Amino acid sequence: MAARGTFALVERAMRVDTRLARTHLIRLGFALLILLFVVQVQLGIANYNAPGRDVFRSMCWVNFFLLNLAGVSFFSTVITEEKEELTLGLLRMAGISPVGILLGKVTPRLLGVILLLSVQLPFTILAITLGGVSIDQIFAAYVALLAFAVLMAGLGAFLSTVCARSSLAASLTTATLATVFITPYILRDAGREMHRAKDISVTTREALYEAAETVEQTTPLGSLDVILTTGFNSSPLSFQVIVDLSFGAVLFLLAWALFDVSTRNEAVSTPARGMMALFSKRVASQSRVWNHAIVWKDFNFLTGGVTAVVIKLLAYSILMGAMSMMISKRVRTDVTDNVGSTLMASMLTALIVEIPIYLSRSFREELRWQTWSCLTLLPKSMTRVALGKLAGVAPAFLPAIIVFTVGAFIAPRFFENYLFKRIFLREDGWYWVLQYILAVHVIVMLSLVVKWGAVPFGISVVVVPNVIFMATVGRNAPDAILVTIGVCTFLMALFLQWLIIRQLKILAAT
Amino acid sequence: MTSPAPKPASNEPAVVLRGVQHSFRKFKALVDINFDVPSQSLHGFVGPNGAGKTTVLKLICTLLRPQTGTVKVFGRDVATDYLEVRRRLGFMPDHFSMYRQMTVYEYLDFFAAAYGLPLETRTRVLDDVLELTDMGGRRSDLINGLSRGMQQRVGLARVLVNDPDILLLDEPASGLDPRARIELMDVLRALRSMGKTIIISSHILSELAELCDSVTIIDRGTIRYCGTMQGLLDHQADYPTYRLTPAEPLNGLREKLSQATGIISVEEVEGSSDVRVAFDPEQLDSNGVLRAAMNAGITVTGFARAQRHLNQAFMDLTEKGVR
Ligand SMILES: Nc1ncnc2c1ncn2[C@@H]1O[C@H](COP(=O)(O)OP(=O)(O)OP(=O)(O)O)[C@@H](O)[C@H]1O
Ligand SMILES: [Mg+2]
Repeated sequence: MAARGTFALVERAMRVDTRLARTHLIRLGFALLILLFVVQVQLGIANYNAPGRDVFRSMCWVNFFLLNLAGVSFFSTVITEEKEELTLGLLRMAGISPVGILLGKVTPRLLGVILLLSVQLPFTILAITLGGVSIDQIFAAYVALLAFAVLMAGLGAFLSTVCARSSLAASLTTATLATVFITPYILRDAGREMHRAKDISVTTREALYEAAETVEQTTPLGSLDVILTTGFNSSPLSFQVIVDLSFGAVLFLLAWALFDVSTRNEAVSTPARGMMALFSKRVASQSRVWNHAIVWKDFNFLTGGVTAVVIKLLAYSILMGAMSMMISKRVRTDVTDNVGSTLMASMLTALIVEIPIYLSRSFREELRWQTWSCLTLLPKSMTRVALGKLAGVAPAFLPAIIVFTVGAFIAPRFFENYLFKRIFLREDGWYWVLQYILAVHVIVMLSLVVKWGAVPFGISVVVVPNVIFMATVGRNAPDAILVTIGVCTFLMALFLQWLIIRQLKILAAT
Repeated sequence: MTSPAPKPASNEPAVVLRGVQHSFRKFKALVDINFDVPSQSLHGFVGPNGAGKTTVLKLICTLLRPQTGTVKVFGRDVATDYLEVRRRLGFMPDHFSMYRQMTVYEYLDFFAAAYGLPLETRTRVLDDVLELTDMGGRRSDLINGLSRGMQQRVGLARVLVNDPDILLLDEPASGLDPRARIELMDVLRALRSMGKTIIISSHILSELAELCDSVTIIDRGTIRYCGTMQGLLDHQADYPTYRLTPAEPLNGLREKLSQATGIISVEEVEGSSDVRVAFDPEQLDSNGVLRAAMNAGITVTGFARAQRHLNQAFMDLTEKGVR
């Protein structure tokens, strides 16, 4: 029974998958990316003595990047998706066991990833022909990536079983990955600094370095480097492969063990009231809706209202305060410049990340709870409704802006010389601003048409071509090319805006 | 409140659809729709699943743009004058389209404010609609915690906050218990007496029979009937028919009755001993029918004008099977 159920699930998933043109497009785009990398190397071929290896190295890093992306969006929603659509209970009632559901949901996605990797076979042959890389290395690299994919699948199965919502599962996956990737740096840094301050002995420092190395070797981040050095001839079953496979398996088993407990209360039948919950009684009896009703709604229910903004401001301040303390201890000269620039850089990053997330959520939530059609029936134009929603989420950016301003006051010289002149007045500053605007539009548009992963896919759709462009011709491209691309970017953003409005109208009627 | 729109003259139709067709991709959801809804009336809109009711309502409420033909609400074209149409119209969709994380009062206040009502007006209007829908006691409850019937009332209250002249209710009675249905009908009657035009869609014709002044029956994207309720019942009936309840089964007496002068047919009503008697109005009247029955030796315990059963009318007008 369980086996049949699993099979039915796999079959359903595969059928849905093949019917969706989107997945094909993603695969196609993927193959294209690889091609571009090859072209990049071909262009500069005279400068390389191992062109095959460089092609292959680029391919590996793209794969690694995509696997992370898949982990954050594709795998981390595998069970939460059913929870959010309230279909998990139906699957359970159909007599499919927890392991059946887990396997049935995870396997098709893992197969999808494997398919993505196998699409690349012709290019690897090309890499071998170009020279500099052996078949053993290619084999080992793919084994390493596959093991990492299994780890991603296990992590996704586990987190999406435990979490109630996709957004939480995706955030936790991101946090986990970030922790694993950053830990080696922190360990090395801590070892060096503490040794310098004479807090620890050389042996302890070496132990810390050793630990950093070990952590690094648990992901392709470290192991790919080893594999791609010349003269590699170890077994493809590296430390990383074993660790990833076993962690993947353990996480999967954990998901299985916790499945019943954590999916009992599946109904996520209500959007979160967020911070309003803390004050719901008071809010209900006292405060009235503002005359700008849509602003009121999104401010209170999407960004969490005054409370959430204050809490975020506090959190940012504490975080940045701690960071400033650390910096002021470690650097001797230009303390204010260092502190100020850190504040500004961190907050700018926060803003860059927050803006697309809030904007896309602001529409997604309306669609998800089917409230969009009633909102569009107001006697207001779509543009005015959209502007109201923008104004509603804008206060969410205040904490970052405030802390940024503090930074600018602490280090006015740095602000003027570095940030203002270099970023906003630099010749190609406008180019990056345009690219960012395009990325935001892509993300908002994607969030209207895909169920998950709008943010990571939107970012990569814009970032990857830019990275390729900059790595190849962009850095010393003549201004005319930059301007042309800039104009195209702008036109694309306008076109996307039109598409977004159109899509919103279509969605209102369905 | 926004500047009061001039009340329509009651003879001008509230909604006019002419030559409306609508396709989703290649699928023709509406083939050729023409009908009027009289102003200040309660109009039933009935059809089986997939008939196109929701599509028509969405066209009227400006959610969909007409592909061919024109849709006019109070003389204004929905394609061009959509803001004005939206201002005077309230649409209640067939699914719960609600900010479930809000309280009832917040929810209603939100829409009132979104329609541009100033604060004082809002307070008054909300008190009114809460009273009308009998939700005053639950005003500070979260919508999420309300039962289906109550959510339905909140939905109705929501469409009332901007004091629309025309209400479009898509299957408002589905999922309600009998009592809640009757209460809903009472609210709708009250609204009609306030001069509002109400279009209410349903799968069930008999549910609307007592409520509606006029009815449109739609099936497979075409209009099968549009007119008064009574007209639907008399539709296609060639001779007046009375329903007669005998004290005991007729058996042979039926033959005898059918031979009396002026009687055209005597048919048994399935599942009972009643008979349907059709007669020629030029030779007989209802008294004559009764007399003929007594002359035939029948003990009559009930006698009433027979109406074609509503469900029968519905079945006759719609086709078998969903498309
Ligand atoms: N957005 C859409 N895309 C494609 N087809 C649609 C869409 N909306 C409706 N249809 C099709 O149009 C037809 C009419 O649908 P509609 O929702 O108007 O029917 P309905 O009378 O409201 O049915 P029900 O009683 O089930 O609510 C159906 O066959 C439906 O499949
Ligand atoms: Mg419908």
